[in-house]
Amino acid sequence: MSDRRRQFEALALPHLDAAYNLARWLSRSPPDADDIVQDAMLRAFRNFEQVRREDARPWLMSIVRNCCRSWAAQPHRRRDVPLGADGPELVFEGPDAEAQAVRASDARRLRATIATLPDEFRDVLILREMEDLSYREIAEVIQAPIGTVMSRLARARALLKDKWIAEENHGLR
Amino acid sequence: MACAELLQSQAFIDGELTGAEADAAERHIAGCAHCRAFSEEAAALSDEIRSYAPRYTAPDHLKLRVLEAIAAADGSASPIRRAPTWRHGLGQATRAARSRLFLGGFAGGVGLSGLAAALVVLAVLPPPPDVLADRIVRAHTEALMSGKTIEVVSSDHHTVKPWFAGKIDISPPVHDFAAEGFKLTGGRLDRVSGAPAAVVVYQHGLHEIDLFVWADRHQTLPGGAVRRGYNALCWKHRDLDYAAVSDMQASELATFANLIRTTQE
Repeated sequence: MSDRRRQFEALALPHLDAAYNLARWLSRSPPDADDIVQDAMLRAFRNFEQVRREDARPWLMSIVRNCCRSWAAQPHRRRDVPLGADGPELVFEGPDAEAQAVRASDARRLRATIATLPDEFRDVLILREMEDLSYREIAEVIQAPIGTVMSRLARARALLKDKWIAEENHGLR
Repeated sequence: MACAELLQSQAFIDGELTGAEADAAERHIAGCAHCRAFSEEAAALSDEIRSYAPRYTAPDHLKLRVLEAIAAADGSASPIRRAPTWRHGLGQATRAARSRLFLGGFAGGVGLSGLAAALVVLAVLPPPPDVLADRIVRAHTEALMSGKTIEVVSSDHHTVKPWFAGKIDISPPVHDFAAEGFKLTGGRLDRVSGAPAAVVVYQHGLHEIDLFVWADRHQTLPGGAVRRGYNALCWKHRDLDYAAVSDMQASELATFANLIRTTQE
């Protein structure tokens, strides 16, 4: 293996899960997320020399995000899978089967609700809550000032809360 | 926005503030009903997301695909220029990488570089079980085709077992089961998907059996598998992985594997 490839794999592979998670939430399609991540990794491989190790994650996420956008502009992309309906199986512990079922159904609804957020709010929320990126890193990913990150994040949270409450009321009816 | 300090309050709960800024934000949240409600909700939402909407993790097949694609791109002299067509371009790159991986050893043309790439890729990442079954059977058939299945010829386990010492950092179990119909004939070094493996070779009638033994890398083994007419049986024992491969019937191979396993109890 070339030194170049070895360096790249050491730099980028630790962030493969993060890349996939973002691609998955933005594309909402497992097969398309696969393609997006592969394309992003190849693009990254072609010019990773200028990236410092500590900046690797936001840099890679930014490429993934750009790839998601190119993908979204493709006419022949696959259609979304039912929003957030799939995902890692969650096991809720506890003696009460009914309570467990309620929590499992909450989990599905929460994922579905996140999936309905507009793209520009969904990505900052995913980057913050799932990837634990700092404001500065998120700003790097979305190529916007930190102030924009802060306002979008606040908006994302407010939207999610409203949608969640609406969902719950709908569920109760 | 109801409070001009809202974004600052949010920055506080997101752990973005330190020192005096953090103190000021905390005091503000304590005194501002709007920011307090927002902060509590945002923190609760954050907890909910973390426990109810966990991250997706990259599936194994994707990891393998990415490594193959990078290996393929690395192998080409100049960066691949690709039209921005997702499926078409990617499919080709993947196919190119795959064909190098899976056919390289036999096809000759891309031979060495393709195979070397495959070994390196797989050393980085343990393959999923069905791919591993392919690799094991291929290692067996390649040895058969090259005519070099045995590097140390001996039916004496006191000769075969020490032969491995110093050549590989594991010591495989070596027993002769001639009385049971499985005659020890020797051993060789080989690789299973990139990992060095000791191979103990047995003869059963006209059938040759390879017992691959390699250090456990926490990969999932296929159990039993049939590939191109060859049977493979895999198991783990302590910190070693085992795979018996042969063109014998599966039931005969199971008998052989059981003989080995009885020595491990």
